[in-house]
Parts: sequence; C-alpha cells; structure tokens
Amino acid sequence: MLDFIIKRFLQVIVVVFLALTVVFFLIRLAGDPTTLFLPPDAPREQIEEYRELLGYNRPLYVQYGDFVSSAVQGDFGESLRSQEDALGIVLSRLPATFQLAISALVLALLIAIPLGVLSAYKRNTVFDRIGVGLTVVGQAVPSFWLGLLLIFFFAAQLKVLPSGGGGTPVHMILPTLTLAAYSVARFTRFTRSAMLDVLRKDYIRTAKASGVPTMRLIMRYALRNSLIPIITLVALDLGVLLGGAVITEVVFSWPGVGRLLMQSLMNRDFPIVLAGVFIIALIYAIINFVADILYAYVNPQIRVK
Amino acid sequence: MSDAILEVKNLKIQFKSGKETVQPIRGVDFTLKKGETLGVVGESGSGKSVTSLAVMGLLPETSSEIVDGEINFNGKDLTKMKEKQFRKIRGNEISMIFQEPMTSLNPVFTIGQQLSEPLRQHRNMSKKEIEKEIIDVLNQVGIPRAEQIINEYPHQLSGGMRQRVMISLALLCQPELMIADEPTTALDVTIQAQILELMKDIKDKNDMSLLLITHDLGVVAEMCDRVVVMYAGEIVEVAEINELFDEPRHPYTRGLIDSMPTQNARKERLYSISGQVPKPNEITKGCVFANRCPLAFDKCFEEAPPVFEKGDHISKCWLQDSKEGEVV
Repeated sequence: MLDFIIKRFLQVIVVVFLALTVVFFLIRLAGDPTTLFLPPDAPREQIEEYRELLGYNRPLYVQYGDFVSSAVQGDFGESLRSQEDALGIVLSRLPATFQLAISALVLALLIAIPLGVLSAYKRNTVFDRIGVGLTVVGQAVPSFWLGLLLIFFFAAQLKVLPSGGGGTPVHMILPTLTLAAYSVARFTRFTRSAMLDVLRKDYIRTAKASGVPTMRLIMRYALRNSLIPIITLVALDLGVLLGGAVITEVVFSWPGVGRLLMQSLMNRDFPIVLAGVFIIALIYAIINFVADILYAYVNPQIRVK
Repeated sequence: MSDAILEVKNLKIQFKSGKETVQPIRGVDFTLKKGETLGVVGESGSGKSVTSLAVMGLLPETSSEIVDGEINFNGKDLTKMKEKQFRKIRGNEISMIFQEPMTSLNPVFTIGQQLSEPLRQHRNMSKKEIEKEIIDVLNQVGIPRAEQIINEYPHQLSGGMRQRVMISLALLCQPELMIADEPTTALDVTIQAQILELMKDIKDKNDMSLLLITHDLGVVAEMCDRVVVMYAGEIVEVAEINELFDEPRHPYTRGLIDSMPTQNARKERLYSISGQVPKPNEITKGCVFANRCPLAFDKCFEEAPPVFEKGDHISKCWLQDSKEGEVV
C-alpha cells in the first residue's frame, strides 16, 4: 500500500509539472503582456525597454528555465498589475472557490444518488422516464445560460436573491444551484446505470434468495457496489469544480480562483495565470490521488493484492 | 399425495421483451416428496433454471409472469403469495444454491456479513449467536479456518470454497427444501465429486428434500431418487432413477443417456443428439422433440403427445401409445 501511495504521489508531481509546462507555452501564443501596460501610441523604444525590464525579450527557453527554477521554490513571481505575490493572490481566492465547489458537490450528491437509485429501481416507469429526461436537459443546458436565467428570475424579477458577489450564505444560493445542475444530471445518470448494472448481478439474486427485503437489498447490497464507479466520477467532477467554475464565477461575480484566472488571462498577467494553473493542477491531481485510495477502501479486491 | 413437499401443477411461464412474448415453460407438472432428491435434467434452454427460479419466486418481476398453474409448497400456493410473505420462506424454508459460485457472492462484503443475512432475516438471534452458528455451519461444510474465513472477502477464496460457502448460506436456516441449480457445473471435476458428496451428506443429516437441476446425467445417477426430464419447456419423462437408466421411454432421454461418455468407449466419437433445442418462439404444433427425434413418424409432427403413465413412469411420446404398438 505504501508503494502504491508513493508511486501515485510521484505521478501527481509529474502531472502538475506537465500542466504548467503546457500552459506556460500556450499563453505565450497570446503575445507578451507589455503592450497592454503601455498606451497604444507608446514609442517602440519604450516598449522594448519595458520588455527588457520584465525579461520578455529573452529567448523563450531561457524564460522557461527561469520560471521552472523559481517555481520549484514556490515563487511564481509578482502580479504584473498589482506587484503582489502571484501565488498569494491565488491562494487568497481559494476559500471562496472551495466554498462554492463543496456546497455544489454536496447538493449534487444529495439529490443525485437517491434519484439515480430510485430511477434504477423503478426503471422504465413514468418516474424513471421523467428523471432521465430531466438529466438529459440538465447536462445539455450551458451553465452561463442557466446562471443568467436564475439571475433573471430570482434577482431581477422576484428580487429575493442577490445577482452576484460574495460574502453571505444568501449569495451562495444561485451560483451553487448553477454549478450543481450539471453534476446532478451527470451523477444521476451514472448512479442509475451503475445501479441497473449491479441489480442484475448474481449476488443480488443470492441476497434476495436469503430473504433480504428489497429496501435493504438496494441500500446495502447494491448501492455499495454501485458506489465504486461513482467515486471516480465524483473525484473528476470535484476537480473540475475546484479548478475553476470559471463561467459560473464570472456570471455571478464570485470572488474565486476561476474569475481571477479569467481576468488575469484577459490582462495577460502571466504570473497569476501560472500560479493559478499550478494550484488547480495540484488540487486536481491530489483529488484523484485521494479517490484512488478511497477506491481501494470501498473495493476490497483492489485492497488486497 | 400427502407426503409431497413441493407440487408443481401445470406451470406456465411467459417472458416479455418489448412487444414479443414467449413461453419458455408450457405446462410443467412434477412432485417432490419429503426427503427425496429429485433431479431435473435437460439441455441448456430446456427451462430447468426458469422452473427453479419460479419456485424461489426469483423470476424477474417486470419481464416475466406466471400465467397459469400452481406451485404448492407444504400445501401453500407460492404463485399467489405476496412478496412480503414469500420473503419469509426464501432462505428459510426453501433455499437455493446457484450455478456460479464465482459471481454469486457479493464482492464488497465479507463472507461473515453475507452469511449472517438469512439468520438476521429469519431468526431472532444476537450477533454473537449468529457468528457462532455461521462458524458451526462452515465447519459442517468442510471449510477450514472458519473463524478467519468469516472476515475474508469472496475473491480470497477458491471456486470450490465459494461453493461451500454458498451451500452453508443455503443451510443456515435448516430449510425443508433445497434447490441446487447446477451446483457443480462451474467446478473442477475433483471438486465436483467433493461437493456432491457433501450435499448428499448434508441432505441426509438434515432430513431435507433436494431439487437438483443439472444437465449431467452422471450427477443424476450419483444423487437422485427420481428424475424429471425436461425438453423445450415441457416435461417429457419422469421416472425412478434405475428405471430411467434401464428403460428410458422417451427418445430424448435415450439420446441423453447415449450421449454420456463412458470409460470404455474411448476410441469412438461421442454420440450426440443432432440439432438444438427449439427456442420458445420456434415451437410449432406436434411433439416438441419431433424435428430431432430419430424415431419420429407422421403423427409426431401433427399432434402433441399426451402424458402416458405406466405406474410411476410417465412419458410424453406417441411411441408409448398402445395403438402405435411397443417400439424398441
């Protein structure tokens, strides 16, 4: 087990490193940021001077080497705009993102698992059909649109909820709903199909032949087996949620990492983008790492080699 | 018959898939007496398993239906029973051993957790008593280190061990009737013999009745008192074990017996009945076996044979009709 953990941890490092490298080169395609900081009619010499000052006139591989050697020490440089520590800015936005992601995930699980189980149990009934239909809609509706709709009804028309910003629990309601919608749909569909699959298994018949009542059969014997694939899905989704519910955060002006990244990209504030990518990649990789361990806990066939 | 524990009368089962319906079981009758071992033999697709699942009330609820007939267990008709009452019988008065020991145990629960279920459902026992009982039964079926096994998971056990676990699961509440659906098919030959021996032992010790579903006449010869031969959802012959092997009346039974490998006949090719069991939707008028029967004559294709009884020996073949005269 320790072997497994060490191996997976090394993978985490490799994943984060690769993600940073890819993003480092990709954002350079957008050009360097100097022009954005100077007036449009700034003379060429001034631009060159500024480039020199920030180091963007060096060859790309030198800049990359420089970036890597300071990044491994945890130094992602300073924001080009505010001259504050880039990593510090990202970290300060993290709690808001966490808050939103976790509440959306919890909400999604609370709705999706019972719904999926019930759909599978009542398969091909009207309930199931409606459920499946709604999940298709839920997956198809883009979150920016859903967000705007919610704002339109609850903030603009009914005036019962704020349209954006952070701070109080009330502010969380709309973004949480928006963010959870997609996950609810995904988890429900997945739970339903995993459950259907398990309900057909021989061991369910065995349990039934022992006189186990239906409720116990489903909630104990079938659900536990269905959870195994669901854990992977939840881990992936949590990664996505934490890594920046970019659109939702922008729509609701939620002060999280996603919105910060979006703004920084617009401003070509590269140090913040890279620090943000670092944090997101790290979180994503760690969550998957934890999911693997959890997986082993739920599935004894993996646990004992 | 007053000493019957299980009486299946004119059982008809229908399966639906979409708009299509098929009848894999069309009028099955048989009786299992107290303390008896009754074999049900036939090829794959003859309806053996469906019949046994019907007795257990384990047919898929949405896609299948018992359209006619009775299944009387100790005088109670199981087909009319509500699920809630039926549950009290399952695993308690009737229990079942399944074909696939590898997939019949839940991979994420320990052996102990799974074995405690019948006792939990049907007996009012404390955790400690349950554990003691489980260890007792595991010892009885010849599982070594029972105290440790109860904390292990199914994948840690071999196929033979898992089938022993399945047998102990079926045994826990000391049922009056045990149904074994191909209990040894998935096992190695040496393990097969052990498991059969074990089942025989247990049956005698616990004074149970056994309904043994198999396609292996060797197993039947070893275990059974009487045999029901099924073909394409019908019973074609019922006889006491020795009589069946000495004097099979239905050509299908003869075919099955001739298809058994023997130790001396090593050089020849094995005999086989040509053709396949017709699918339930392919059945036309006449005898179900007619198209594969070496002895079939015109009448066989025209009209389905009725049941011919000679004492306890029942067969469904026109050759048994006295008007057609005794043939071979």
